[in-house]
Amino acid sequence: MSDVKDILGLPRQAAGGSEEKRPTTKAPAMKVPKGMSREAFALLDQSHPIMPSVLGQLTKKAEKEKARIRSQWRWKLFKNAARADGLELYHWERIHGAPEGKMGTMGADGEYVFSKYNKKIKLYRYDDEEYRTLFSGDPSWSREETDYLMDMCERFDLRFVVIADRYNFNSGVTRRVEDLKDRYYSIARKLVISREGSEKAAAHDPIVKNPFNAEHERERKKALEIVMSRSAAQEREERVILQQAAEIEANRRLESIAMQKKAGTVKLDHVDEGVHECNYGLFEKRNNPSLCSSTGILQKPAFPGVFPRRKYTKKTAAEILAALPGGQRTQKVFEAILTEMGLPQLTAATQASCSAWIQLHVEIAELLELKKDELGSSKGANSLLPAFMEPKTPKGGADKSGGGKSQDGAAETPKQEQLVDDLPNPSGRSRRDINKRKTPSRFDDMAMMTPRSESKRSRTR
Amino acid sequence: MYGGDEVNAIVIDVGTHAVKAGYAGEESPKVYYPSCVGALTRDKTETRDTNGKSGQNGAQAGGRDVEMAEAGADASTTPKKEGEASKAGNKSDRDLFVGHFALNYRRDGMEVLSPFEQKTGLLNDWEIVENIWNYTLKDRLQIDPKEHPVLLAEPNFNTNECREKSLEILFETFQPPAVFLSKNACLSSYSAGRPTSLVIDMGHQSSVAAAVHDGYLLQKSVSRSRIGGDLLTECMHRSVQSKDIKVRPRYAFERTESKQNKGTFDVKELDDYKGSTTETYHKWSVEQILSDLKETVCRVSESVFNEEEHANIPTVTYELPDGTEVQIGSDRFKVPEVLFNPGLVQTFQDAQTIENMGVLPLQSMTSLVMESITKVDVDVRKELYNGIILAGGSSMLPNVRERLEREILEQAPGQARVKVIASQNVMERKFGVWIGGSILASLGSFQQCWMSKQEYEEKGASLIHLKAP
Repeated sequence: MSDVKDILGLPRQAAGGSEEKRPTTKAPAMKVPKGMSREAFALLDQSHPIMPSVLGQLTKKAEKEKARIRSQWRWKLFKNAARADGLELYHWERIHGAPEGKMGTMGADGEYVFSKYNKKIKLYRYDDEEYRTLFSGDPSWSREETDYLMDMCERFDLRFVVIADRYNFNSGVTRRVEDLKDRYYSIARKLVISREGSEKAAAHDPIVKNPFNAEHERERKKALEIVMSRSAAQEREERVILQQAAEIEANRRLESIAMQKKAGTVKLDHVDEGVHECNYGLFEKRNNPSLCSSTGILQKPAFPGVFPRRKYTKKTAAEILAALPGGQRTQKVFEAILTEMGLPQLTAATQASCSAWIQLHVEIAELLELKKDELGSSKGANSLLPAFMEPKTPKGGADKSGGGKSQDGAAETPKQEQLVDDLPNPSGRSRRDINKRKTPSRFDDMAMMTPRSESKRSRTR
Repeated sequence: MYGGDEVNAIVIDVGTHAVKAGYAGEESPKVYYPSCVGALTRDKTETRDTNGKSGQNGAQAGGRDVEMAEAGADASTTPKKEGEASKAGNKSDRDLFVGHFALNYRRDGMEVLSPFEQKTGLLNDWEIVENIWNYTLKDRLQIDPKEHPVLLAEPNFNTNECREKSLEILFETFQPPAVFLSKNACLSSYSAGRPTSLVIDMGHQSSVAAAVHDGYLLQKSVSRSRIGGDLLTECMHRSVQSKDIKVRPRYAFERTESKQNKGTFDVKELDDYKGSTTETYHKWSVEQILSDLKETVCRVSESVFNEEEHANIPTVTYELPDGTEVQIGSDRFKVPEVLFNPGLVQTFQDAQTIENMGVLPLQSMTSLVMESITKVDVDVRKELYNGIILAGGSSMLPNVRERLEREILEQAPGQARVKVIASQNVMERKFGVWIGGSILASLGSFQQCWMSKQEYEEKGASLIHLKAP
């Protein structure tokens, strides 16, 4: 009711029933002034009646054109060649006037154009003889059921999903799609082979070339079912749990590093030069772990997978960095040491250089740790920076890139010397020289650099 | 139209709410009227005179009812209808009144019956069905059935017996040259242009979800729920009743303009109808009003309906036919929410009566879809998720499409891309099945699929199971 009022524009509540005067009054009509043409007056006039702008298109020429284009249709009986029963229906057919290129429903020889779409799939059918010889072996498929299956295949054009849905053989066993496909394709395959003579002769046929593997299908479907039955919400939960598990795993590894350090000497595997010589892949390194873990040991990673060496090594190095107690500052110190040594990045990612690089990291970390301890014990918590980081004048312009620098008498703690001197120095530099710095320390307390100026500094080096 | 060939076939879709019919090849059905019919048990001793007298009474009563603009026409049609009914060979003892005009006119003792059986959802009362077809073909479309092939839409869960019976009646009574029966879900799928899809049809008496693969319905995937348009209307009724408003059907009152203040109307309740009007007719009339209310006012909320959140929604005013104004607030969203959360039915007054309305379970639309998909072979599921088609009257509620998509995304596996398709033109959703039939019957390559009269006579009705699987 209310919409009717809305449509009519009437007010919802009765508006007192008073009539309103028509506000608009018609504008007084103008008269054509003398001498003015009709067209000119039309421009002046207020009202604009609807009129066609071009009158009189019905010239003789136009009429001829129209008559030519005009098409005629008739209601005609037609027969459909695709039908067996001769049903005759009527449809509209063009007599003449068809535009070029447009297809009518009756083809060149009076054939119904759509009859050709009645396509049937090529089905492999057996006769009694063939059935007896080839197919009577399978106990789960009786002759009747097999015949029923073949009929269904023909009805539904081998759409197995639909066949499985409508399959109702004496309310017997429910057959799944794979079972039906299995039976049909094995029949087809045997038929093709037997008709050709031998398997070799029939090898060109795709049915023979690619036999249907029902087991594989079943497995695949089972797996797909599992995947499909998990909703998006559940997958999200799973991902969160996996993430947490990964974090716990990472924490555990770092803890194990820390524990190992505390336990005493860090076990650094003696890097045997012989083994890590490049053998040009001449002997197999299977089962020999070739990735260096964050403890400096060559060991297999925690879970199986494909690990590109460079990436993995970088990751391990980052782990070591992250595990440094002291946070950002010590990390920067660490990086500074590396750059000083000329090894800010990994160059070639071979097994030897990668494991050596990691072991270098481990050694530096351990060094920093010891420095810190030493600082803490002797000087108190004045600064967390290792001793060598104090602004000192660098001792001589030592070249860093080369190897074989003799060990100068830098003031090192005996503890450090003991630990470090035993081991061969893979980078070719003595440990003491690591502490030497060419330029004043970047980590001056006084001049706390902004990151930008830091990088500027590094460039001036 | 490329691929098209019009043979002037007729497409008829008899639904639980309305009958849609028209020519194949057209955009929308020409004929649309309620599928319920009025039935008046004829007293066997009644003669023609009494019939004429009741017609006269009708004219008098009609004059009083404000709504009856067509009172005059109606009075003239009533005897015609009765005559028609008896001409159509009603062997039973009742007169059937089919169509808008006949049904909207109140008659003493007239029951409103549906051709569908509540329990099974299938066509049951074949006399009514025959009358419906007769009315459609002869009175509304005004054709001679002998010249036009007929395409019938049938429910997804239709039994073989039902199909054969429909065929029998059609061929024997109307004798068309050819007939075809097609499942609702397949037709909805064609109207969306997809051979494989999952169709969810939100109908009047029930909602049905079914999968269509390569143009064939997968029977094992059909799932049904009791929640349909009539359940929602009933919930709306409760909501209005809880506001202490009584909905008066159109025949039960009279509005006259008061003489004191022009423009205001007085409503006077007419009591003489109380005794002679049947319960079903009263219920049907009230349902019409509430159904209009529901269609005008209700919307589906974008996310799960929360009572507190929506308590602040501004109310909308709706004017009932007798002038009473109803203010609807959060119930606008609560009623359609029943589609997605059937538990809400409990919150309405007298919830038990709603729940007892039928045999089927009350299942939400989302769970219907999920159930239907899980019953299908694994390989097809991905494609089904990608094409979920909305059909049916209740899908015309605003925001149904977005809400259903969101709900299904929650429950679907992460890999599957979920897409719910509904035509932009909202009326098309109501006629989705009919439009699919229109497309199908006007295709050139379909013309070989008809089951002709000759085949019926030679091989019998059971041939239809082979021809139209």
